[in-house]
Amino acid sequence: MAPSALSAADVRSVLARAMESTAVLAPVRRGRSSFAFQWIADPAEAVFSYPRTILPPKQALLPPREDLFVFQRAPEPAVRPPAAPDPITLFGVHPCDLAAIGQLDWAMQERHGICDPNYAARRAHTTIIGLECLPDEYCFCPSVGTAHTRAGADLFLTPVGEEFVAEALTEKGEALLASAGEKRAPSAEARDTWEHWAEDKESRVSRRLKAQPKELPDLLEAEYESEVWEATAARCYSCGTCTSVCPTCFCFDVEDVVEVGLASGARRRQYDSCQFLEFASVAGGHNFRGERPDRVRHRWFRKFVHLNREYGDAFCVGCGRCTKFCTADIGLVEVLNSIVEASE
Amino acid sequence: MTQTRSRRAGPDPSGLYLPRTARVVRAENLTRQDRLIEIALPEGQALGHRPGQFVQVSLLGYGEAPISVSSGPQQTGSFELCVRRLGNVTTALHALQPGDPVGIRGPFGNGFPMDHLVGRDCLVVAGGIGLAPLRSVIHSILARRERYGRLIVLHGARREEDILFRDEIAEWQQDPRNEVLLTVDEPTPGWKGRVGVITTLFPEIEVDPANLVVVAMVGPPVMYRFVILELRGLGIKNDQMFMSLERRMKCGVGKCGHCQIDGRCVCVDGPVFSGTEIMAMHEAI
Amino acid sequence: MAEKPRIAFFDFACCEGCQLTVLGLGEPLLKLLERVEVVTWREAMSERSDDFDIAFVEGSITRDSDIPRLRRIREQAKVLVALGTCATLGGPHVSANNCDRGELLRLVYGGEGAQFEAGEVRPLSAVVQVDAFIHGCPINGDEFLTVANHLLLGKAYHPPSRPVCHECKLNQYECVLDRGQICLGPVTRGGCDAICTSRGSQCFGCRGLVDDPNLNAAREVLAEHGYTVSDIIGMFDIYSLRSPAAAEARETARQDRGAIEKGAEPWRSR
Repeated sequence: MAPSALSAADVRSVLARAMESTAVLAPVRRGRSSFAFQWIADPAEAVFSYPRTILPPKQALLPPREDLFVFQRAPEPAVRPPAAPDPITLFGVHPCDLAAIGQLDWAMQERHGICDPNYAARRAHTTIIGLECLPDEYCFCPSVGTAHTRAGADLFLTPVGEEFVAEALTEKGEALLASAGEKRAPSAEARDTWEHWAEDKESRVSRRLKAQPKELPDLLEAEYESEVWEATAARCYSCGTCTSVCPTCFCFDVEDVVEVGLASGARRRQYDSCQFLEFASVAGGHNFRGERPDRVRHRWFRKFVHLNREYGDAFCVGCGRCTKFCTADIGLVEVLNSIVEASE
Repeated sequence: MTQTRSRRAGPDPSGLYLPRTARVVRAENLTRQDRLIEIALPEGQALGHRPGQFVQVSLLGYGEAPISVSSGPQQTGSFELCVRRLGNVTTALHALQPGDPVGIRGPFGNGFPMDHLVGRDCLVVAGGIGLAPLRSVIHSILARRERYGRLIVLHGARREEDILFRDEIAEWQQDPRNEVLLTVDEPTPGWKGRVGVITTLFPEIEVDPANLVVVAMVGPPVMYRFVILELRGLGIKNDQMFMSLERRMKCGVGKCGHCQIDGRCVCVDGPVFSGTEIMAMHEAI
Repeated sequence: MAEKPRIAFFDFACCEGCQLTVLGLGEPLLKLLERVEVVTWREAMSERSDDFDIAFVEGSITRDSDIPRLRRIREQAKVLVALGTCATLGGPHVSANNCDRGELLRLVYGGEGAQFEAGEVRPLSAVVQVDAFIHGCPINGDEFLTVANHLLLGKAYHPPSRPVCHECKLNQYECVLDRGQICLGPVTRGGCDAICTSRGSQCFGCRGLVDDPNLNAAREVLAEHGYTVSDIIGMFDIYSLRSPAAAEARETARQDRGAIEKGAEPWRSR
């Protein structure tokens, strides 16, 4: 499909169209210098340019807290699935986050041949409008091959000057694009910028992984006993920020919550973190990762060894959130590179 | 041995997290901390489990706990769980009476390689509550006794009163093809058996390592290490040992991440692993 | 329906703000009152009874003369819940333990100071067994309801050990350190839903430290953010997070879940 040109006002009318039939999650300003995905009430709230949000769009598909089902305890116990989720549109999803949704789709819907019904119900009613971006100092998308991801988006926008080059990638995207009115072709200049976006983007990335993702399982396995884990743990708070903000982390805890009257409640899952002390403890009292360095190593091994082997690629999309938001300023790429260097 | 690798996730994928409402048929205390609960699924549904598999048992408002099925697959119409009281869910399960509803998901996991046991001797190594899942193996063997060789059961408990299934053990011992050796950590007056951890029983048995399969569940990781050393001392190879590992399975379906050992999910790839698999993992024991 | 458990509220050295939080719960409190009978609550009612099952005790122990009273409450209560940080960890006034008591009394009360009894500030668990801990200055009303539900169902309540940072991130609040303020979120026990950082404030550590705080990292990282040792210590000392008493109380709170784990719905034995 040939790309077409949209003005900023056109994009807002696309958003308005989406809001007629779906809830829209879009990046908005948060605080002094932060951005967050938020359910918007007005297309004007959405920003078109942002480095990264605090939580990834994962929050719409695997919410931080979610009822797996609701129940009543009295007079007779009964369980019922949660209400069918409303259709949603994710606006402004960067290529790395598109790649992350692809990885989450595999983890939640395909891994072990088991499909998570709650995730799948949300995912099935999701429309995605992607948005091209330029990297900042935390991004390392080229190192994990996600810088130019389009897959997963229904409509993809590249900001070029005051305008956007829009690509409809699915029928849903086509319909959204049509809502902006008569199609017009981008100017020659805009088209030129659009065509050279990829190389420009790659050239701006300074943070680089010193190995290919496929090499990492063996490299890391060889450094299982490396002092890097101890050194990283010495700085790590185990606060779980890295896993909360990670677009590909999906671990959760499950607990029952009951209403004050005790008559009804829900079995609720919420984000958990392998960095928390209790994560790998068992009922008998043993904790399989009771030491902080074990938990730190687990995070890198999970993403770059185990899931890497199982999925066939690093379970990381280079968004830079874990590094940007780390309360102790621990750098994910720096830790990996120190392992790579140690093995050289 | 690959026949044991089940990828089953319950009968209805849309209800992956929804428990079936089962009923307690019978409940009795086995020890001061362990209670045997017999459960029937609705409308006579069969659980259809293999020895070594587990179910997620839940009480609404209390939560869910992964518990190994303790009865053999031959038992029809109901199944049994041996529940040790440790936390909120198991404490609430201990209060259940016949007729009470209880939520069941599963069965989950791979189970022990029963086909591999056919025609061979079986050494069962059960530390404490570890006898619960292994009883399912024992029941399977006893149900078709002629298919299997010798059955040797080693069971260690803290005190005499903590020994599980004492009446059944006496029955197992009636058959000369079966041997049961018991040990306790803290002997009480009148105890005539052995004293010490489960490994003190190994010097007392004679086995033919070429024709033997070991099934084991023994408690904290350090006990697995000691048991493996003892088994090696008897000339038993790693690929003839099958051990059920304990982890905190929250979802039972390979999603929540809690039971990961290296690259494996205990809830779908386990909970039974061969000695070879266990030795190849960093975090197993 | 089973007999309603009888509830009593008590307080020692505190501002009574945690009881006020309970009182301010509104409709959920009325709903809870369908399940329980409040028999003693000085802040809320004039009737009182010494026949109760569950005691919610706010405040810390600062005088030896408080001890017999607390012990009597413990003897009567089937379940004793420490309500708020003064009760669970000692509270902000633990800092008085680092001062000369006589000088402190003179400073606060002038010449009349000598007539006041003022001893070491201790959490309840230093004197009696505590069955459940509700941290916070003040407590989080939702957590109070959660604990009440746990008690009614006969469940042990384990305060979360996840740090405030976790809840702050899940709410997508801008990081306080990025706003240029010192913050104890990474080492402070969550459960408050990051209420302070949501309103532009920093985390002062009112719920005490998490179970495995990395204090060395805190010093190193905060120093890198430009804070001096006295800035950092000053922040930690507001709730006396470095004090041995707080460490002991934290450990007791982790280990000691008291009566509740011994059996479901203990008041049913009446």
